[in-house]
Amino acid sequence: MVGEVIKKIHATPVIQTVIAEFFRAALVVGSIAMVLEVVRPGTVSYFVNPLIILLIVVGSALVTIGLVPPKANITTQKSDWWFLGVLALAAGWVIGWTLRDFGWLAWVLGPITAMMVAAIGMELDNEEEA
Amino acid sequence: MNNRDHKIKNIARAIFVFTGTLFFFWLFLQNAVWSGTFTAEQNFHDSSVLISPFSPEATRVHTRDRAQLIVGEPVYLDLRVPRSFATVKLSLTYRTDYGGIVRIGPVLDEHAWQFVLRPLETTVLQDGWMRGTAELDLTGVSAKADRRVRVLLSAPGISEELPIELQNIRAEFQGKPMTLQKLFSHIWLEKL
Repeated sequence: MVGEVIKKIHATPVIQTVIAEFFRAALVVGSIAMVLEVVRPGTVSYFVNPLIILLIVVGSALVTIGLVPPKANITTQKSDWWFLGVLALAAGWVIGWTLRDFGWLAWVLGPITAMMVAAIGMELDNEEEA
Repeated sequence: MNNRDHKIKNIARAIFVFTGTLFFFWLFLQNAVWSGTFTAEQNFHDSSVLISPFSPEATRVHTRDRAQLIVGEPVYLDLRVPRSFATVKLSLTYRTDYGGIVRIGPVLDEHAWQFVLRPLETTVLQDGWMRGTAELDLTGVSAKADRRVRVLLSAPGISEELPIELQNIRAEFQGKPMTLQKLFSHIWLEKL
């Protein structure tokens, strides 16, 4: 059942595009929200549970990884690598900083976020070139 | 990617960007409190971020389902405000056999142990419940970095045998309506 749905989505570029765009928007909104929360505590968390935002970003990332298939034989330009590297480090730092009170969890989730952002960024970049 | 896919991609992107922008605009309006009036409520079953339950837990406060039992004093709660306000009207719904005066007020300086307490003006409701109300002046109150104001409740003589059962706390903040000129100072100042 799930396999059929994944196959169907793999064969439907439109849905893949919408999923990828949703993840991109969620990542940008989530990152801005977290920066706001770090700069001025309470700006976001007084009105929206930050965990919900984090779940949307991580959930859409996992859906993107699962449903948007990688494209073969596509090379990423060097400038894109720099951009992705900076973006990944920034995202990792934001998550790590936000969760700094949780101790070791910040050291685990920060690098994981950075790696995830880099991997998905490369994926989206490849998809765009394709 | 063909033309149709490109079109769909652009439409999807436009929709998500618009939704994200709307979210941040809504967040901005929530933080600016344009009207100058802001209300928050704590009823002990839907967890409220803006009004904390009374503390310290265990020694002076017992939290139950949908209520708090205050058995010692003084007890504290934190009010979290998105921007500066001049006054807050606190309404507490409670029942007790305690006959003394219940006072409440903001902590001016936690280190210097300074606070201004006002007695609750009570109105009798049904089934033994009462509503105690006090209007507190927030001028000169130092908020913490996350714009948290500590409020102290004092009722000398309350005990395990003579507790206050608290059902609801409501805070109505009143400040000047927001203008574009005041926006920056109201949102960033930590002095309320």
